[in-house]
Amino acid sequence: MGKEQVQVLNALDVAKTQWYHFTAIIIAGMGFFTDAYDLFCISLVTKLLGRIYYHVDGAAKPGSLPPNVSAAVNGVAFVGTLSGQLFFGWLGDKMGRKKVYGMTLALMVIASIASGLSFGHDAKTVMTTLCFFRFWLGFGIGGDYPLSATIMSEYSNKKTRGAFIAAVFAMQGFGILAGGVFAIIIASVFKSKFDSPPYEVDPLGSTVPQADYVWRIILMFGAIPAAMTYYSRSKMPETARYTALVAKNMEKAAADMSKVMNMEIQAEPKKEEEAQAKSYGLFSKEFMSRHGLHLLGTTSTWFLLDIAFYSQNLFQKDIFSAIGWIPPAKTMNALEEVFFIARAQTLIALCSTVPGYWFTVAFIDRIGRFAIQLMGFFFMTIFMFALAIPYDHWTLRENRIGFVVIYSLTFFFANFGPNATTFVVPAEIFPARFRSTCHGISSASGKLGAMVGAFGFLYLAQNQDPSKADAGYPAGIGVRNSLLVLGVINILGFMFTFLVPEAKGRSLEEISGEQEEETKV
Amino acid sequence: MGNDAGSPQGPVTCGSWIRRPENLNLVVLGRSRRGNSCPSLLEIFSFDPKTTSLSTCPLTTYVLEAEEGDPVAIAVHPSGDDFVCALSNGSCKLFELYGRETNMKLLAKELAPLQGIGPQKCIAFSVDGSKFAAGGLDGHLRIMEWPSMRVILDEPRAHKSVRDMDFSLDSEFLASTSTDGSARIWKIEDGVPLTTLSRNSDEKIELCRFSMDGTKPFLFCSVQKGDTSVTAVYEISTWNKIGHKRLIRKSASVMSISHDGKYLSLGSKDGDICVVEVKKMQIYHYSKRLHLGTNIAYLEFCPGERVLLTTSVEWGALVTKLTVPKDWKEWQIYLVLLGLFLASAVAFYIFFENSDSFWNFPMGKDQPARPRFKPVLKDPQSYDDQNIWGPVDM
Repeated sequence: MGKEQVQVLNALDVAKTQWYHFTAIIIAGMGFFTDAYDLFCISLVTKLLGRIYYHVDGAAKPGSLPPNVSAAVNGVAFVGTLSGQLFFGWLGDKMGRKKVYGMTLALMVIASIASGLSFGHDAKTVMTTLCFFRFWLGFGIGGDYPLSATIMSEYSNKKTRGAFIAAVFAMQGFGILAGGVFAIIIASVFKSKFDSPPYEVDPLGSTVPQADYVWRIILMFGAIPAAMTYYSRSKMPETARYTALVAKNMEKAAADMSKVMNMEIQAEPKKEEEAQAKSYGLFSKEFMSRHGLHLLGTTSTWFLLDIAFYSQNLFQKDIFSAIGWIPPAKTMNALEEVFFIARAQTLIALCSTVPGYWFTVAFIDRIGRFAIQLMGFFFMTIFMFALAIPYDHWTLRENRIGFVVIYSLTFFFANFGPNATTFVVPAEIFPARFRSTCHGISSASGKLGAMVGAFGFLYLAQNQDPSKADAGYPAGIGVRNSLLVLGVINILGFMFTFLVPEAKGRSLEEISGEQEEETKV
Repeated sequence: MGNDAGSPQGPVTCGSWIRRPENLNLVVLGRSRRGNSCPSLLEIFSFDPKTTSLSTCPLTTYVLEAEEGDPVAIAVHPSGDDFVCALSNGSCKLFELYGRETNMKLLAKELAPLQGIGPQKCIAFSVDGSKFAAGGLDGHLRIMEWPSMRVILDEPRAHKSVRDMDFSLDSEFLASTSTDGSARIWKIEDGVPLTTLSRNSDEKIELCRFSMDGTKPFLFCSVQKGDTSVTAVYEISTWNKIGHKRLIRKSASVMSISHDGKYLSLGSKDGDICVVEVKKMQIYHYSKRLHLGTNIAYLEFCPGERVLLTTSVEWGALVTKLTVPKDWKEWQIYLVLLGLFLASAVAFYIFFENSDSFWNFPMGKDQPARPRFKPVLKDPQSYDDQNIWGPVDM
């Protein structure tokens, strides 16, 4: 066992055996895969929950979750994510991250399984229990996400770090893909065994009692990648990397150490000037004049991106229904609806989300982060308006293929674009002393954007005619106007991108202006 | 173990921890010959963390032949299955540990490339166990791949005489010091010297240890400045000195880093030890005269506990529990998590009890998830159903 472990690290560095690097990508990427599956699989089953628990006798449409309930079910995991990130971040500082990772994954396994259980037989208990365990699933994911990033940087080979990190990050796409594929399988199996007529033929009979198992199985399946992640990480040896070197945090580490050491006594007054020039604090006037715009750029772009990205990921099924790619709910039974939603989401992930990630892997160090982010926001804007402005044209049945193509391209350029670069850039453009803090601030902005997207779009996308809105919803501005709003958000993202400098091919000291300080003195 | 001055065994010359599976820690001690009645020995002891003591009897003993000389230095492979012992006759020998703790045995093997190379002051394995280095009293430095023993570096005149050496955490560098006060850094992959550490003319770099914390890429050195011993810190990307600090009051004779990189320990020529927290470079533990008036020859942190093993010729081997802040135990973290879980469960339950208006469930008589019954018209049961649910029109 001991020999086996220590040799893994040696092989990682030798960089001759590709199998080891592939294994390292899988191990580091399993965390992101699991996070993506667990966060997004809920969107596959919310329609089904509405049919099962919110059926209204005599209604022309199948039951659907009221707005507050839908927001709670979808969004409670994000609240948990924020809480977990704070808690495990504090814990990691106290006792080291290695000891914490087992806990986050154990929490994710338990919460995934428990999400499919109910403490009681009535609908109220089911929904409360579901929200409770979705919160704790998010809590575990919040702890796991930064840890996956840490493990990623620790195990990356020094020579191929950029591509390695991007490849690991791209595992998110596979997580989303896995969710859709699994839902398709489960829906197909149950549909073939428990067929039933459409809603408009038999409102009650269209939702077979066994449909209750479908959403539970889809949620509980999330425990399996989490358990696999736990197993693969328990096989990892202790860290044997200077992560400060990998993450280019040398200056911060050296600065922290120099504070507790006796400095060499120097007679030159020049040293004092230099020390003063470097000692401005976070959010000081000096920081704001040097890096304030950069911080505004990274936080705003991440915030705006996540509004668009998360709202689309969670509610694309509503868009599909609005343009007819998914048939009207009343023409399907419950299991057929799950099948169609999962198929549509999977096709989007397969044709645009996943390729977008891998295009980023291939090009991020060639055409640069700035260009990728600018191009991504630009094309997202173009395609959003292309969908929204001639919206009536796309609602015609014969044009829906065109709609799907353009909509897919929106996702493609989200991932070959700001979704990847907003993660990479904040880690590169700030001075070492502030890097982790600024990345944290930018990341928190992204989480905030995710919440705005998850909760806000749900209301906006409702039909303007109150009678056509889903049960319990106030009238919204409609899908067309919602797409217009998202287009404007993308324009804002495009413009704020100009606040962020290009990091490709430049040393961190050069980008953050630390060299300037030395020259100036 | 305590004072063994009166015992018939020879004095302890070297020792080391051995990390075994299932969080078990052993100690290997080397004893030199005393007269004709006590041969040179290698002994394996078990360590009891509850009492912070070594077993009174060795689990196994290996007797060295007279012509092999005395053990000078021991290096344990990170796997814990074997160790190398440098002998005073100028050879190094490999020892493999066999069996469980109840019937442990030591099996000796010759290492051909290390036969007759002269007395070795320092021997060490890299952190990942794939490299082995030997520094001789004659200043000859060797680095080899392990276990193939392929030569990476063979430098006969690396130093005047090797004083100390250490592998970096990522096995990229080897630092070595000389008795003349100089220190060199070697690039292991290429087998070439990289640089010499900068120092003032009155400074002698004596001991060196690389940081074991991945977020602190430093090399710690014990530097003698006249009569004062200070600890200097170098950063390993530029090999510039960051600063220095006086930690131990007497001259340092030995240095060690804990396995998680949190603590640095120094032993002095007068028998003092001090333990320093690396993050703040503050002394957290100081034992005066732990080995009264005697040079501490060996000092090492226990792999899994906050315990130090120290040896000296006069006082033998001692294990010392450190008075440093306790680390969080895993069960304490789980307790906090459980507390948070229960608190949120209570919060959700309170919400559950008061949340009818939130969930806004429709008041339909039939729900798809429940079994359905076809009511029979004018049946007495049908009449009962009506009574239970009230008017259907509602």
